[in-house]
Amino acid sequence: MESSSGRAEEGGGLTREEEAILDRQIRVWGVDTQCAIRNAKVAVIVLSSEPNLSFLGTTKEEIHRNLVDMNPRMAVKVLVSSASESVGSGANALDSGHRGHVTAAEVVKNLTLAGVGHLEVVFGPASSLDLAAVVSKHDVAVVFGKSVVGINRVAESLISGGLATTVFSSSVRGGCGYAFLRRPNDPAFSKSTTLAAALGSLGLGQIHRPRKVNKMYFLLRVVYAHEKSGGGGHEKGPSLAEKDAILSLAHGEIPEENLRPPEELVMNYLETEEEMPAVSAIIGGSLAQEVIKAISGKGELMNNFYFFSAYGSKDSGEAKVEKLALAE
Amino acid sequence: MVGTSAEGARRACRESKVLAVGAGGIGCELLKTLVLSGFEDITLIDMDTIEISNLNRQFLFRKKHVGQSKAEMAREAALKIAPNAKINAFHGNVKGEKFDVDFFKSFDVVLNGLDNLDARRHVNRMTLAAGVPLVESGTAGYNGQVTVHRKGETECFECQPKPVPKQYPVCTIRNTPDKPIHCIVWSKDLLFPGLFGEPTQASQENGAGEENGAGGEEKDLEISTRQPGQSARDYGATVLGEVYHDAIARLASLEDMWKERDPPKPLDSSLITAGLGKVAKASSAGGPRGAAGESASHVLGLTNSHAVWTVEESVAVFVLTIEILLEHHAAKIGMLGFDKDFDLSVDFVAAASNLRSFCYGIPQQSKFDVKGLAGNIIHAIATTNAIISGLIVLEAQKVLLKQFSDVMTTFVQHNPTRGRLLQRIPPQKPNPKCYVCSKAMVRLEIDVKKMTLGQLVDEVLCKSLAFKHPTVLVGPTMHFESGNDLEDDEVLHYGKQRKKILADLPGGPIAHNALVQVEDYSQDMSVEILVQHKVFEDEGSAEFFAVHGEVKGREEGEEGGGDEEGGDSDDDDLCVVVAEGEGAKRNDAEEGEGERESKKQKTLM
Repeated sequence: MESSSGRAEEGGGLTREEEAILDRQIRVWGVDTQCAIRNAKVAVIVLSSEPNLSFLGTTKEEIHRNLVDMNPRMAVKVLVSSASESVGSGANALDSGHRGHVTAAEVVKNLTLAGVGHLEVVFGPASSLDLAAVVSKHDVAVVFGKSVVGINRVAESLISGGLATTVFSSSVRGGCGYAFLRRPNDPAFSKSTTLAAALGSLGLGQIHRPRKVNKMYFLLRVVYAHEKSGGGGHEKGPSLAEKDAILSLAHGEIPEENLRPPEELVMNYLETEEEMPAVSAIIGGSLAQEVIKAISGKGELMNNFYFFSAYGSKDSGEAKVEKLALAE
Repeated sequence: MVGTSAEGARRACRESKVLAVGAGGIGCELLKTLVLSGFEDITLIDMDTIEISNLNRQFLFRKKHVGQSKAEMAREAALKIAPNAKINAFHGNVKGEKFDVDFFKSFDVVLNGLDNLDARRHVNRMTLAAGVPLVESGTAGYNGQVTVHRKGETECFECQPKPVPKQYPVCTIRNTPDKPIHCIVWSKDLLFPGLFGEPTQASQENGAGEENGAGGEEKDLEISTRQPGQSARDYGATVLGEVYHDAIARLASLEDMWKERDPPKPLDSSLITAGLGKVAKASSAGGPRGAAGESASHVLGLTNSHAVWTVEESVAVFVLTIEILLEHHAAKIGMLGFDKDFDLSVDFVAAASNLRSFCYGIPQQSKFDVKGLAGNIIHAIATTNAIISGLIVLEAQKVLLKQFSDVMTTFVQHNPTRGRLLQRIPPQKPNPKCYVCSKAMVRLEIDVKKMTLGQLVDEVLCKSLAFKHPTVLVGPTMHFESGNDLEDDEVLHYGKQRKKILADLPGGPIAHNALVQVEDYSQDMSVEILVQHKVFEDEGSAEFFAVHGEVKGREEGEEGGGDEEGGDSDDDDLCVVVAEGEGAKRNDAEEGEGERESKKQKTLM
């Protein structure tokens, strides 16, 4: 599914219609940023065999139609990997009580409204997604998934394959969500700190971290260790049934009791793989804004973790940016 | 939230009845997040229709919806996401009679996504009267905030001063401008209505149409009427000469006025000639002159709205705008007001203000910037509204689950501060000085020998104190009533009362130290006002009364950028010309504010 029905040509100023529609945001970030957004190529990759983009549609045709409808000037592709081509019921997002990939939908919606010129939305399981075959070169890529291991694998493939120089990885489960930014060519970012490395390829003592780190970080370390040891599904990550194993692992992984994630936070993470829409709105809004910062070069980019949990620990409710890096 | 689960939050949503006020920038995002979160009984109110400039962020709307009701279109779009939800949409003003206290009582929580102070204050009062928690929100550009208000437990929306529209004394606007905004306000509020519409109150009392005043001030603009047979272009050129040459020359000749500043310089005739030449050239080129939707600047090839026009270009736009308006919009002449979405009016105000700026040696502005200032355009982006909608729903869930100790006021910002993109503080306790929720007495300084009852009602009670239908009593004497249920003879009686000076009111004059009881049954509000007589010396000031109490605060722009002070709004009026001896003075907001922690955070409205 591909379209370039609107004008998305490089260079040049804004048209009169673009000025009229985008007036309120041009007043926020200026014409130069708006042109940069218009010329940017962004990929949103959802590690799922189900092309359900929540309120934006539940089939690739519907998603494509809605995005073109929202921004006819955007060149948009919606791709579903061949292994999952037939999936997608066309049913309403909430018909089965399943809300779909809400955070990805939030980011796609926000970037479409912002006026991104080229957008590719790709669905496919991490295990079988041939990125080089489906994704062209982009300025920024955003990867969504439920499994930390799966997200990391795809993010690193994008970077090593030269398909994107700025890659955000993100996930929301229940009321817990995070995003991680890889930008290896930017001197402000660690070259070697991958999502996996930050979460546990090395011991906790080898990670440079702020004195008080959000409890979500330690939760993700434990979840990553659990996944590496064979826990969790390929795509869905661990379930509530794996709670005891994860809590037990927390003791081994994080010796300091004061750093271990509270049990309630662990429960909230494991309770459901469904995304809490309010949390998706917060993380999706923040993440889209970070993408715009990356495109425009304006503003202070998140470096390198962003955590948000709606409840479950004392630091819940804070949208916290933390730098967790390996020594170079 | 201790003890909360995603399922618990969802159950609370499913079983609750919510009122969402506003279906604009925040409202569209909020409605989407509500239905996705499982809210199944939602009532939505918005009085606006969809505009093209909404489409960058109000994602439930499309270009084909322009002109249609926001509330109804938002409902339609939300039902596609959640067909089983019950969404009642009202296209109307939340201040309307049918949205009374009983209406508000029928909801578990009220969620505000409003864009103007007046409606926010009204909803605050209605939720206080109904005893229903209110989740209030606002955004401006990258910034936003969400606050929870609960009667008796937390501060109400009006416990803290709020930014109010900036006002400018007419003498500055009319005679001694020194900033671009002064020239823009003059063009928008005095010249434009003087030429094409019903003059504003300020222009009627102080502007076009009066004879020159004595005492060294230019009191009016002497503008000819169009002569029979005179071409529209020729008339435009005549007006141009009268306004920018004759009137400026007359003003510059008043030597007393220019002892401490440089006098303005009349527009040179060579510049006028050059500008008229551009109009003639555009016409002879056979461009689409005057087509219904065509603006003068585009006919003249001035398509870059971010460029600052030359003086000759401003002359050409000024004259050609008059020509197009008179030739192609003749039926509207006498009824036009400035409309930021009507390109001809933006062209006119841009050209007129820049020509005036040129005469006064003030930097000129691009059409884009003039439009922003004249239309009080609040900067708005989708991402902030999305974040705010998530925060509103999270706070609403806490309220519905009665987890009040977890309720937070949250501020959204562009760049992290100490690592945080969201700053949170606990809600404040009610302010004992708040006349709205704490029933504190208001002290009012006015000139009781000059102010009429009508001015008291309109300027003080309705505009400054946000009453809707005030009733004014002194002791047992009812001086004034308002509302839709008055008999004809009562309307007549109170119409006569309005014209009376306060100190002369029969039966119980409103004089020095009078205690005035003001009630508003529609808002379930009652306030005692202690009146103190004061003579306001500075007639040129925009202030002619002073309200003491937690009423309204600093003017916009006094703290931080003015663009951070509004809601996600297209409609608030920023530029207000206040006639001499008219207008509202802010309260002494500094009283007792030092201790209030939340003052450290900027409040968006």
